[in-house]
Amino acid sequence: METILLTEDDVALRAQIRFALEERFQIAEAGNVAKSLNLLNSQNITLAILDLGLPPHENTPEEGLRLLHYILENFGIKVIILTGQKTESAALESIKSGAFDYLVKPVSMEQLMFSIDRAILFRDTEEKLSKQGMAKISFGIEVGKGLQPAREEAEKNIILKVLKDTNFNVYKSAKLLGVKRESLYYFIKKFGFKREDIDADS
Amino acid sequence: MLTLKLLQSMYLFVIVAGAVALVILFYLRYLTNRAFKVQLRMVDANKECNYDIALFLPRVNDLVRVAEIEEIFYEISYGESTLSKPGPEKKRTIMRKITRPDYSIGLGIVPISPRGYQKYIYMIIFETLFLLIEMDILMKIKVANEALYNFSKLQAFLLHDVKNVTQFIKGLIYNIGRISGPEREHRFIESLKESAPALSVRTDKILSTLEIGSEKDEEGDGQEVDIARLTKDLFALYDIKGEATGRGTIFTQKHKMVTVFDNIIKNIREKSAREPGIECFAFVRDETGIITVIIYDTGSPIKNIERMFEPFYTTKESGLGIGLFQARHIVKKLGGNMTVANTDRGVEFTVSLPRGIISDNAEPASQIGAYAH
Repeated sequence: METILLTEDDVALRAQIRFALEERFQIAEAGNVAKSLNLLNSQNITLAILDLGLPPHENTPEEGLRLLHYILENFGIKVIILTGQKTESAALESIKSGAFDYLVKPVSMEQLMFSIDRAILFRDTEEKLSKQGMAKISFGIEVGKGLQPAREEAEKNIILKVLKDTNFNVYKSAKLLGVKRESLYYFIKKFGFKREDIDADS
Repeated sequence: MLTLKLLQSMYLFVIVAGAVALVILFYLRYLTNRAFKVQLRMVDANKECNYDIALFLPRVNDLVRVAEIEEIFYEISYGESTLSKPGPEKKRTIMRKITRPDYSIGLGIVPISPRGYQKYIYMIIFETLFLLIEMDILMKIKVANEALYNFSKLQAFLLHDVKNVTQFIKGLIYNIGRISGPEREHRFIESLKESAPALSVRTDKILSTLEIGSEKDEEGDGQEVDIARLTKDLFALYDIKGEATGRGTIFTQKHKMVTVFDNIIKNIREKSAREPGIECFAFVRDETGIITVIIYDTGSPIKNIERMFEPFYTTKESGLGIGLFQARHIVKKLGGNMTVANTDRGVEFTVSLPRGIISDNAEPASQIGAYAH
């Protein structure tokens, strides 16, 4: 059974969402960042529903965004944002960081359920594709700036992913990428990749 | 000898010249006095019009006529307002115009006699009038901007709570339609029991925020609130190290006491995030019908502490600045007093409240456990 992390500081609302989800999923619930981190480290969380306005700053998205970055960097699970923060910057930051969905309260429970199902479907499909050797790499570009920055961003992301997968083994990475080692060294220098940064990230 | 003769012949001339100079001097003094009086009257009129230039400007014409000015005309715009009075076409006028990002002022006068000493008189009045208009506009823009800023903060604060309540209702409706079997029914009732106190605190918070400044007395049953126990619960809720001692019970609506002490202790909790390890102590004293509560932390002093109860004053980026204002407002409405000061041992809050009438039917206050996240 999927275990969903439900981070929501409103006790009443959390109880209702938990009740709605608990028939289909196992729910790990938290009202703040510290408790969420505890649960993430102690349980096998497979998906997260996250409120951005968390204590001690319930009226700004900072705490939630901090937690979102941490989850995406360290656990790589799908995160659905369910928040009252309607600011454009919070939505932009969440989507840019890699949140799967951004739902603004109040939202119907059917919509939340639909979003959860989609997140699971996407995750499963990505896993299947990954087993077939295909990886989904996403990156942001400014369309008006032509193809060169887009090409570079794509190259950068693909090389970074392969280096991460091979623990910065240049020989293996070059083989996987189908390039000469010298060319890979050139790209590593060009994009400023360092073994310690990649190790720290992974 | 020659000098003496010269003096004798000019004697009369000197006297006449002196007398003329004196007359001119007195006349100029009279004119200057009149100009200053007009200035003062303009300042007074502006104040009487509550610094509203739309009311003030029509009164200016009558005031300035005695100061060598036939009439004034203007073209002023600020915010969404525009005021204009066209000037005469064929007369000699003096005009000045400034344009700033938020406002523009064009002010002109028609002098009675544009040359000579009169110029100094009407120019003093003209400069003063220009200054008054600009000050009024700046004051209005500042007040409007502050009000809009505070309103947006208040709106964001309320929206957060209202959206959560609305989302709760949506969840409730969804769940009611899907309960099947006695076990789920039981679980649903359990979840409602868990939700109800937190929902009540949330709606109380919304109500007390909306009622800030309202003189309406709330109706509702009072109950005995054990202040030491309440502060202890709040310390536990916010994970604050410290202790609450003493005894004192107040008979009032409990949510009011929760709001007062929650705002004080939440303030200390936020401080402890910046200064880890600080402790907090509360003493409750019951003296001849007055309950005094002293709460202090062991942290650093607070800058501008005298402004802490000012509405919308906050040192936190995400703060609204109404918590302590709201707390003191409640205390004062209950006939008490609330102060804060930097002392040798730390920042100290003192709340004094009348004990109130304790009836035999009063309900004892329950714990605030429902608050816990």
